[in-house]
Amino acid sequence: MANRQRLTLETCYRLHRERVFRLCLRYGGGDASWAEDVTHDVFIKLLEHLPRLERLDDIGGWLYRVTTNLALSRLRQRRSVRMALRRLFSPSEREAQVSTDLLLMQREQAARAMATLRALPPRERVVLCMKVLDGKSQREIADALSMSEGFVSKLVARACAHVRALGWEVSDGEA
Amino acid sequence: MARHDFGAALREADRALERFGMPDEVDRRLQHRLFETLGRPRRWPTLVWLGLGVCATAALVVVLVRPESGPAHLRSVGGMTVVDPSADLRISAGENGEVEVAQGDCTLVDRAWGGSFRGLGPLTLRRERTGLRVVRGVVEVRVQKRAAGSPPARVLISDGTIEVLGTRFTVSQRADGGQVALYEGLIEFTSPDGRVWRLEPGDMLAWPLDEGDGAGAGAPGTDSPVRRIRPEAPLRVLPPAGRHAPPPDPSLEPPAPSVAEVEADLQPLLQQIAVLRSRGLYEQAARTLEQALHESYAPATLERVSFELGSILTYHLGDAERACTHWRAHRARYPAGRYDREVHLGETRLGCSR
Repeated sequence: MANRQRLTLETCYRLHRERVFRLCLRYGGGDASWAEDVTHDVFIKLLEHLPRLERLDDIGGWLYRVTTNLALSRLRQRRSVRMALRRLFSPSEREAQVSTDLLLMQREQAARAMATLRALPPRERVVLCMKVLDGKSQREIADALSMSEGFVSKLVARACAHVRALGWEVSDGEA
Repeated sequence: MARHDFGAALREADRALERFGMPDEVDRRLQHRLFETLGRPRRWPTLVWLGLGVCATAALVVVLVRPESGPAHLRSVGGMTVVDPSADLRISAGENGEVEVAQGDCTLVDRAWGGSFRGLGPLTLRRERTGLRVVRGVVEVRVQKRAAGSPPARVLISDGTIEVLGTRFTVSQRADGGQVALYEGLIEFTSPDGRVWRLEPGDMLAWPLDEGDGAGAGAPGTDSPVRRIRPEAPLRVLPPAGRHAPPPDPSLEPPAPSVAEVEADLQPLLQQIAVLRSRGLYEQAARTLEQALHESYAPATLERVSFELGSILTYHLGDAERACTHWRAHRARYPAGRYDREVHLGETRLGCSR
């Protein structure tokens, strides 16, 4: 049993690690340490759910949903009152430096967009990524995040308003 | 002012993240963490889970109530576990995987790398593709014994690579050079141009390295950077290890030896201090340095001696009164000195009034 699980986990890890890590990097606004921790937790979740997963052929979709929800949950934890207080009083607890900024240094607008993304509240950040980068419909986002379609629509509108307030143009398709 | 399209810019950023991909060291650490977890038994009886639940709740209450830093509190910074932190510890994860200890003491454990680092004063470490780099500071390194066939753990410094198979040693990295002193085990030092030295317990190697270092291997008194630091042993050069050295890492460019004359002046004294430090004879080391302050060294050399003395008083002896007096005198004598930042950190650590 353990061997079979290990093989399945290893196979899934090999096939999907890059995609999961990239999703985490994206939601974490380029913070590689944070993305590493969330990627780890995603595959631990996979390990826990392996015996109950009926369709391994759609594991990619399952991982997308779990990664997105887990990232959202971690982002919200990071913004909790307790963590905010810790960061306020302890310099060592400040939000981790973004480790991929160097990568974006030559692309001014891309770096600015990533900084704008980091400034958004967690739910708006995740919903906007799903919409703009993955082309998901509001129905698909609502299903993946267990939210109502109306609430997703509200989050998208709020996110776009925040983005515009930061000096960007947001096209109609994204609003 | 023209507004840019957010969607296009975000997609460009996302493509850059895609090209960034998953770094090899992240992949290695994740595999290590994941498959170690898989090896543990996971289906425990309900009562055990219940007991664990009660313990976890109690622990949660303790964590929420207690202050963040305390001697038994464990946390992770930049992928390293912080063990045995002092109450005044200030540690942060910086850019490019750097971990900086700005104040206080702790041991940083990196399980994937297979060892731990104990900083002696302010310290900056950085994870790199080929190993862990000591960017700045003095650090005692402990490496777990490697399984047969496993690659050695690598510590990167400005002038080369230290390959370790299970041992304990101290690395000191300053802006203008540094040294490694070995207490137990065996390490190999590889310079960027591929020269290799093998160090045994009691040996010390200092950098920056010169072109000619090691050319007269085996002959006592040559310019090899490797020295016996046991005072009873004569100074001699160790032969390079008999193996093919790996190709030089182009990312490891040695810095210009800006104060080479200071180092040359101080080598015998620093070796003597390294011996005393390695034996825990800090008071004796401090007295030796105090005497050296009255020698007729060049001003830059005396500044270095004074800095070394302050470091020992601050970080090893923890003698606040002597250290604060010393740092005050140091600042008065070297108002825009080379060690201003370190002096400031030392004074802050001890709460010296300025």
